Amino acid sequence: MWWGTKSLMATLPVADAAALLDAGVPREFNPGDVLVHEGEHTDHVLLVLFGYAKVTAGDVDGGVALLAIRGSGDLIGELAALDGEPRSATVVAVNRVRAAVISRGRFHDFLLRHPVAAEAVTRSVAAKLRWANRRRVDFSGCTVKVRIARVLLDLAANFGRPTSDGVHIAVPLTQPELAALVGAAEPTVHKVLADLRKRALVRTGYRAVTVLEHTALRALAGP
Amino acid sequence: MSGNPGRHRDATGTALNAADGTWPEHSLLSGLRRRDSEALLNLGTEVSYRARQVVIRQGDGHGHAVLVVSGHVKVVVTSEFGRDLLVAVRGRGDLLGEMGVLEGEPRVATVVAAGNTTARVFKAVELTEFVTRHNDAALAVARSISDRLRELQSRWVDLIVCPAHTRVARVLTDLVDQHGERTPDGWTPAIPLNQSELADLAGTALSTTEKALRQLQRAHLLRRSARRIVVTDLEGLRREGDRDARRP
Repeated sequence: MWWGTKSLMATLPVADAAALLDAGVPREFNPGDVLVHEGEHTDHVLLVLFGYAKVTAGDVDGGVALLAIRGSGDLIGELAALDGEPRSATVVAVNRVRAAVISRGRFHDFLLRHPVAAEAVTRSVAAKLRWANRRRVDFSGCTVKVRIARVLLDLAANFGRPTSDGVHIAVPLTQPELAALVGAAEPTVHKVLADLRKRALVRTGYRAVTVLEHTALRALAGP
Repeated sequence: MSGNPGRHRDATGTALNAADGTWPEHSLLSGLRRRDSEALLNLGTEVSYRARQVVIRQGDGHGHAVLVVSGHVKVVVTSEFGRDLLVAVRGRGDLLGEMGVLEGEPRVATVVAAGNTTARVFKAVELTEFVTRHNDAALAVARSISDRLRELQSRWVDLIVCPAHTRVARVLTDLVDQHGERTPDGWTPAIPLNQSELADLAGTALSTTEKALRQLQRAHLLRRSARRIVVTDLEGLRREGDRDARRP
């Protein structure tokens, strides 16, 4: 099985990873299927086996915020499993997704029996917090161009596949979705992407982005 | 964090809560069994901080974690453009710096005492050993990080979908719910925050926050004096900040 390079599963000892897989029941989702609904009182965890899912919240008149993308090896829904509160977000399958569904009881049991894994799970939540925190700070302090560069680099680091001329971001994202992920207006995102294309830093296609000049994009993204 | 009316009930007088051994809801200590929280409070050394003293400095190594025993701290992030952004206020029972300890990464934020504050300061190894010995405590630490992630995600959603006026009302409601003090005519955040700090929390320009505060004052939901905002109608303010109220 292939796990995302920065995913939880990639950091677990082999025996712990096997035990976590054993705790779940596999389930398939079609593109657009909802894995969990914001506000619902369920508390199971989903471990993504393959495919991509988007985490959204705040579906009201004003629009929807795209909080994050999850891929193979990532946990979904562990917040509710940890604290028993309603779901903080809606998670939707981007393409065909296969996930292991783990009940709260079995998840807790797993964490108590595998202290190394429990620490890794805590670290993975901490990493999500770190990313959310940085995005919040960037929102107030950085230009849209810098924020787009950072989001693209993050996506490439998490879900990138090396190709002959760069790193292809394997998550199929529309430009409105990319705009929602950056937290910027769509026309601004279009303009920045056009500029990055012109400078041959990225190539964009239908629901596809390839980072061509990693170093130059990193220089643009700043420290 | 929204949708939790009545949370302010837990924010009444520190002395009372300390006396009966309870800690504010959502704090790390409230999630621990008494025996584990007592063990944790016996760990490390007690340190007192005066207002504006730095407890943890952004960019530093990951040497220690801090458990607030009394008082409040501000969590501030300095961006590479040199501007300080207030991202959170934390209080009694909250653990800070544990992410750096767990991840072995540099500090993401600076933590500053908001007034006289006492805290237990744990060496990295003290905290990791404690968590390894107490499985339940490991889960409680994960829960407290989850809780902060929820809070931050919720703020981010507000930023994208809510008008600035609603965000200011929400931030004030949250501050009172989490760190509120009773006054004769209402509630006030226990830590005096200036308008620029409120603007940071709400993610608005300073002038926008000022305008929103004036509107809320005209609607008799709050009153302002020198550095204090007194929320005189908490439920009214909560309604102003209710994101879901505008749901079709």
